[in-house]
Amino acid sequence: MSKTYHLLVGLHFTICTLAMIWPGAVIANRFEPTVLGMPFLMFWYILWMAVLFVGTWIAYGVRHGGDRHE
Amino acid sequence: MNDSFIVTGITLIYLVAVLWLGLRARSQSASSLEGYVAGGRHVGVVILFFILGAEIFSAFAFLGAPGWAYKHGSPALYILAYLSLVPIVIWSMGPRVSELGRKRGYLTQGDMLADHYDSKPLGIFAGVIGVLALVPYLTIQIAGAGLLFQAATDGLVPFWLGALLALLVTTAYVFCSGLSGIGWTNLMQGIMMIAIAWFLGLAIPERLYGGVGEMFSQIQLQMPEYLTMPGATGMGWGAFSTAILISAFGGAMWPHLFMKFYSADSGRSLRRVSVLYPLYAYLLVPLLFIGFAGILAFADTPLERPDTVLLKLVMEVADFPPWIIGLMLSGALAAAMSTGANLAHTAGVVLVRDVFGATLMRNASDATAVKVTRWSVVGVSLLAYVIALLNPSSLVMLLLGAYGLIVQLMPMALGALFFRSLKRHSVLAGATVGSLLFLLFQFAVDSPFGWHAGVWGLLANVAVVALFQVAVAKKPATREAAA
Repeated sequence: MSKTYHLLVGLHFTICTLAMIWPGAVIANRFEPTVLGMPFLMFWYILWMAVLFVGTWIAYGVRHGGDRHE
Repeated sequence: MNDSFIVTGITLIYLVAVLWLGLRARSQSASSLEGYVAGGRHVGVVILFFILGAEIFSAFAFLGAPGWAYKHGSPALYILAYLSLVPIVIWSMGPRVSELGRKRGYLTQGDMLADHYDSKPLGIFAGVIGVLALVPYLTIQIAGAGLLFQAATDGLVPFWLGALLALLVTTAYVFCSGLSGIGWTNLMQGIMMIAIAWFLGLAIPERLYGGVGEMFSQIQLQMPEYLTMPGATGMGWGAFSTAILISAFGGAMWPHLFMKFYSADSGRSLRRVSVLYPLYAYLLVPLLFIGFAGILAFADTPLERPDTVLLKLVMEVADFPPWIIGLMLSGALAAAMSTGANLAHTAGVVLVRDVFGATLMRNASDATAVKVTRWSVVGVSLLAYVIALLNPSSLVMLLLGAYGLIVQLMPMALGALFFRSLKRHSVLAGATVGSLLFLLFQFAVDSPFGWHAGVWGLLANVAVVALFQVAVAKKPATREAAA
């Protein structure tokens, strides 16, 4: 796998981590607007869990997508 | 009284089903050590997903997560955060561990450390710390099962009997089927846990407030401090962030998690598990709703023990029919037992492989090793049961202490996996300094800035490793200069 790939995956992981701790989560620290009935701070975590899932899925697809046998 | 019989009956049906499934999973491979410990290194993505998931979703997730939300409010989100970040470790470390294990025949952490650093005592040391951390953790699962039984059946099944039932069922299938028994039962228990958690998480706010949104609006009106950081108890961002980091990234050093990397059929499966993993973390969302529901429900008479909030809401406030209480009990037992089975299995293996294998049983055959490992699982489980009956209060201290020490093995493991130029003396010095600093901040002095003590230990650990590496790198140079 190329250097760019590893760099992008690393960046994806770093951004998701920073979004869930200080300082990323600080900007979401409020009640309004509520989403699906949840306070915004709680929704923020639900959202980033989804971002992590989708990003890692793409990373998996790029690396292992074609090969059915390893 | 009649209700208690219905609750007990449903739960017994669940226990029999788990036992049947666990014993049925007994495969031909369970007769070799590799088969018993690592499923012959052929565990595919679905079972692996549920095994790794169940290890994290213990009695703590089912009872502790709502407890945290009830007591602290928003800081409970740290549980969601760290669980979602665990796949980063699986993605980056898992395939490498799996590959090395396949190539060199490793089955435990101790195997890898002892071989890479060419030091048997290091392997024994890792094994001893592992067992010291796993036994209290297992005890907590067993005690949790006993307490749940007693509470949900109104004392019809007392603590000692409930704990014993859960223990007998898990020990039976771990004894007979090894890792494949754990895999299949975790699949069933995982699905049960998800279904029950979502049902209760939506039904309780519906009954008490008329919906999740309505519940949060009412909390916002009456006790808004619960819904944003720093929560009701004032957990700072530093403590919150470091707790997430140490739990997510240090958590992979737990032997029961680390050793599952060896069981994967390929690195690709481990990567696929890490893609799916955040989905498992969504299981906890409804459990947090339950905790939040308790904030207003028990506003006038706060609960003495926050981790009973789920039980109290289901049994006393929401007024559910007995069959739902039975399902709740089964779901919570599933959480305790699926983790407990993993812990007993891992502790049994580590004890035999790392501690006995390097000392008393140096020349034992594969068949003997499997036999001893099986009985060691039984021994460890019984020990945990006896400790649960005695219920010493120092248990949580032992767990915290041993866990903090396990995390300090991290630079050493990373050295064996990726940074192969790290020397034995550097990582040993680092682990020693890191462990001492951790113990100091965990038990003696307040941790600076309120950060998690493990983070300070790990920072010191890495710094010492770096210092020693620089010193070692310089030494040959000066010698050459002198010559």
